[in-house]
Amino acid sequence: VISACQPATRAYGRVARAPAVAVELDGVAVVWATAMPGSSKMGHLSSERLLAAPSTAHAHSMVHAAKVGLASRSSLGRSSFDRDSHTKSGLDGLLAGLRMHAVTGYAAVLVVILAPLSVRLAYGVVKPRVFFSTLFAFGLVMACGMVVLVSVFRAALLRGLGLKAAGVLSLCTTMPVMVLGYLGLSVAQRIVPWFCFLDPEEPTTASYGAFTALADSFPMIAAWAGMFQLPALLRMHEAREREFDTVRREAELLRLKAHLEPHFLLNTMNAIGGLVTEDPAHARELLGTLGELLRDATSIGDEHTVRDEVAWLERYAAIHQARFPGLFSVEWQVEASVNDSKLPALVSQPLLENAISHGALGVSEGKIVVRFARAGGRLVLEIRDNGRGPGPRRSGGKGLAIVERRLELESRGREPSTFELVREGNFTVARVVLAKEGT
Amino acid sequence: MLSALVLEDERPARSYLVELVEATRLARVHAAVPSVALALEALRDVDVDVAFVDVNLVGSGGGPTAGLAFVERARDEGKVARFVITTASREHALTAFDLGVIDYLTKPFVLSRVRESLSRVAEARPAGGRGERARDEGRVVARKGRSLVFLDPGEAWAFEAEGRLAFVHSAEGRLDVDLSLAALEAVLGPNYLRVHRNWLVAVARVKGIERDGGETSLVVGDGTRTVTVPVARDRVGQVKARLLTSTIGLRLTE
Repeated sequence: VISACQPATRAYGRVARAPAVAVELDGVAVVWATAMPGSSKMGHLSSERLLAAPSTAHAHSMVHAAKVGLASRSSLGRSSFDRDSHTKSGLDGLLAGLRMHAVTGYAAVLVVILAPLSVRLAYGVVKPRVFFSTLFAFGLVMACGMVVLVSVFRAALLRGLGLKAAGVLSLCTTMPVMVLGYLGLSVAQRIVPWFCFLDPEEPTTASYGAFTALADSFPMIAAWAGMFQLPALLRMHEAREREFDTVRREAELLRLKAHLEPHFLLNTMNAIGGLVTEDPAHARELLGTLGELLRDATSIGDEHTVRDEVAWLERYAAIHQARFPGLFSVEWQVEASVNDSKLPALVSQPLLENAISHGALGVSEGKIVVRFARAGGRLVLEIRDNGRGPGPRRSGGKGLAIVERRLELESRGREPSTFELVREGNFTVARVVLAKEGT
Repeated sequence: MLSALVLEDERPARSYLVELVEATRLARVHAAVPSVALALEALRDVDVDVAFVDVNLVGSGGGPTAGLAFVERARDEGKVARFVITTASREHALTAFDLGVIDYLTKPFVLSRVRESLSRVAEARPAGGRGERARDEGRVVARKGRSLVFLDPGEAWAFEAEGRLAFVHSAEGRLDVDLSLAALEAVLGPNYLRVHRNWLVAVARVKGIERDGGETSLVVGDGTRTVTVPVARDRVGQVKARLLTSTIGLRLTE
């Protein structure tokens, strides 16, 4: 599924700007973005139900939905969803269109320079020899300048520079390169007088070369920046806005997923059914606990205080203990000073579930320690279990991947939260160090 | 009567299913176990007509579909005639039917649905036995560490619930039992008497009644070892009546 994620992401980048169709073949959804010259791409989105898209916007949202589905359903493998995927696909489009933009930019610059001269030529103010020599000289010089400009721009983008930085860099290098070129020509003209055939009266001094180079490259740079770089920047900005939107929605989806899985609810209901005859009081207690979890689940915001988070975890653990009586114990170590600290709501729940299902329940006397503390000004959350250990990555990887992804999404713009799953002595420790509050 | 094996990792769910299976009167539970290893051990000497198998068996190893792997193995070994999958979700339905399971029970369980499953098993039950079939009378499967101990009716003197766990008292000592007393009551039938919320005793193993102040207790066991079992106050009358029925030498006064 991860490998399928990549083409889907690439397709997504194009869909935003191109008419797209999405069709379903044998239960495999295929998104087909066309109209981008020479780059129609197919993204296979496994089993996500997509229908033909009536409009670009629909295709866009469908691909997004499928991608979110994929990202959260796949085992996610740490970085399968990289932050820059959109930027990268946008970059592909940018680079593909670069040559065309260079040609149109070149043509536009020539028109800008030659249009006034043409009028003067028509009235006989400018002599044909001057006009054609100018046409020839500018044609050559602008072509060279454009090649330099585009090459630098392209190389900078490929090296991972941002659009703005690449633009400024290419514009800044073009001028000196042009100046060097003009100076070279002046020197050549002095040595080989034949080079002066265009306009024998033109001076061959260094200052003339340098200043004409600056003056000549100016319209080219202005045209290039105005016609291509500014619109590209605007588009990139819009794309980023859209991406933030996507990320926000994805974060929401992950939060919902983390709350209460149907599987958990159904198994708990079944356990209550089993307790009704044997221990009616316990059955009622469990009903109450489940009710509280459900009530909270409908009103949980983005963030939780540690106090609320712990209350939730305690109920969650109580239900698991009812389902697996006598098999594991939970110890709570919550520093009083962190009670009011904030963390992404329920980010710890998949960790607890993982510690129970894949850790403590696998050994004869399971033990889990839940710890909330402060270290170096940051909130630290630790869930340790005495299970057999994570191995390369436990089968509960999905829940852990959701935690990683949520931390990544919700610490956007701040010092990132970190997550690790390590073995310490006889314990497997899942540790989250949260981003500093208010930074 | 069909013989059934219940493989379910969660104790309340296991007890629940055992109660429901017994309530259908279509099958007797041969063994109800929490892990694949114990299920295989329970099947070592006997075959059963149907196994109810949970898909996700925590603590059995083998990942989130350990139950399906068990189905495949037990089917290939011919120890189980029919399989019923029990699970909360439908996500494994296709795989399960590919394995040839006869039914798919979703949680929470309901009696009518369990009855339907067992009816299907009964209809499809092949004529003629293979290995030794599980016997019809309820046997108790207790656990001594990681191995199973089968107790014939009568060998289990008393069952005790402590906290959320259950134990059986027998000549072998106090062993773990992976079912609730309610489920055991359903399996064992009227030869066992619930004398206390936490105690279920074999009527035939009661050796005496003791009174100490307001408390009544029973002495249960054989000639060499006994356990003292408290009787709940509100059940004293009922227990005495049941113990004195078919007993010669004492007459019950109204």
